[in-house]
Amino acid sequence: MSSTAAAGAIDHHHDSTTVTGIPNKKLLMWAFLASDCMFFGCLISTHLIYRLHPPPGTPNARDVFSIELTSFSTFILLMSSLMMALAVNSIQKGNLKSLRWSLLTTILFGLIFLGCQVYEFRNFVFEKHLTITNSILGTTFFTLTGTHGLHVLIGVIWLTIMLLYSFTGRLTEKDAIDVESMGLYWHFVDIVWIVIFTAVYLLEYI
Amino acid sequence: MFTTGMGTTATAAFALMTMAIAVPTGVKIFNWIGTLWNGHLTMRTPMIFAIGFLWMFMIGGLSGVMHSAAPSDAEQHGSYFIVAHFHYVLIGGSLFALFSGIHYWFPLMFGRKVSEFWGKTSFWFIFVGFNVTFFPMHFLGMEGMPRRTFTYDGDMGWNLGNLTATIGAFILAIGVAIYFVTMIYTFFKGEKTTKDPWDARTLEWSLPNPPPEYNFRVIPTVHARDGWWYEKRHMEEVQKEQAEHAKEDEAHGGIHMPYQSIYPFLASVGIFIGALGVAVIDPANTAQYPGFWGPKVAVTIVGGAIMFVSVLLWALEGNDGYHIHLNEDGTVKSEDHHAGH
Repeated sequence: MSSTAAAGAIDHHHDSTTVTGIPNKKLLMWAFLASDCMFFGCLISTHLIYRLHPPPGTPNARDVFSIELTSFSTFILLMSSLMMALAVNSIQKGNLKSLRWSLLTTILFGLIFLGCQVYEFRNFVFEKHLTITNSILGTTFFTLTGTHGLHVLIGVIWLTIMLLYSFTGRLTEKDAIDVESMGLYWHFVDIVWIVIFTAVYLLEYI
Repeated sequence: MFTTGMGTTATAAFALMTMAIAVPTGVKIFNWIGTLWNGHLTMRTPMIFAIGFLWMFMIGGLSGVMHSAAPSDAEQHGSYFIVAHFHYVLIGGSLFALFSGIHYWFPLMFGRKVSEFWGKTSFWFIFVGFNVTFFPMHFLGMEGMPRRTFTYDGDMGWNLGNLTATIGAFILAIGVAIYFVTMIYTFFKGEKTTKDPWDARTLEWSLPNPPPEYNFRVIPTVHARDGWWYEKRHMEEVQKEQAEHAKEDEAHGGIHMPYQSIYPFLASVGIFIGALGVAVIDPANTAQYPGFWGPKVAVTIVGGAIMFVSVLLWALEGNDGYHIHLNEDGTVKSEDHHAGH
């Protein structure tokens, strides 16, 4: 606020609300998530289409997948969304200590999910001999779940930066929208995983 | 798509989609005609380029919708007919409009007006050259000349069409050369112009040229569809209103400006290097590097890292910005660099 401004005057220049009534940071995130929806939509539908026309020699997905492990990592990812929601709640109340614990838990849960995925990928490639080039199932599966894993990794990096940033003292209640936008991304990645888990894994067991 | 042998369902789907795209395109053509309809048209260079665009794009659209008939498209496929069609869309449908726009907004960007004589001369060279080049290609395609052909038998019956197209290409090149030489000349030595040289109707022309760093002194209140036209006819009223708004803005801390940041540029340099790695470096040329690591992956990762670090530093910079305060005449009186809001 400038020195010439009257105390308590409304500052229109910092009102970042767009004509839609949604703050522009949030609108940006929604627009990005909409385009990401189409990205995942393509990869999921490709997997589902080729699943119906397996060329000879394609391994049976049920022999490859380990549903117990994936169910566990799915549960962990869902719980990380809960912690993310708590983190958003904390910053809205200006409670930095609670924010840090919630962010840290979200990061840990995200890392557990990634660890499970790395274990799963290694298991598939070296034990079950499913690689990205040796069958159409491998191509669609690794492209889809790998892209999702990359999203989780980017989310974990983002969360970590936000956690470190909270120690600089520049993160206040007013910046709640930054954490909220990050939360939107994290929940989106989580929801996409629910779709992938259903369409790729559970579908093989019915 | 119809000749790829994907089957009748896919052919039907692509035929329907090709027909469907004609609908929004047709709507746009009628939008533009509707904008001109009943208007008092002044035939200056941007307008004749715009009308040329309308006609040429329409021809491109008409030859485009012909592709939706799968049996006839099987004949047009991969022929010079396609070359004719997409050049009418590309040059007629975008270059004409771009040339119109560059000519029109040149005074606002650089404060100098492009010569009408040379603008119109370039238009006629481009218009005639373009049609002489690409119209005969419709017939060449129908006569079976495949695209991407650099030589052919002299008795194929394609000689006249190709000769015409070659002559047209030279006329087109002269036209484009005239256009750009005129633009470069104008940039350095063109006639200096005052504000609003076209007597325009839209708000960007209410700014002096070149526009000041803060663009509009107060956020304009739009009173009519043709905002600037209205303002010019209600000067006194609008000036009073703007003075009030300027006073309010000043009371709220002046005009808020963003910080000038190098990071968006660095981020785009990073993404450029990364994209070079992904798309341009041929993995076949780097076969001497066994395994995962090679120039392709390394360049991609370095570019990605530059982008990531730039975005991070950009984000940490914050969005506080600063405020500027103006004199009556619009020059900058002072700048406030207070941290925080």
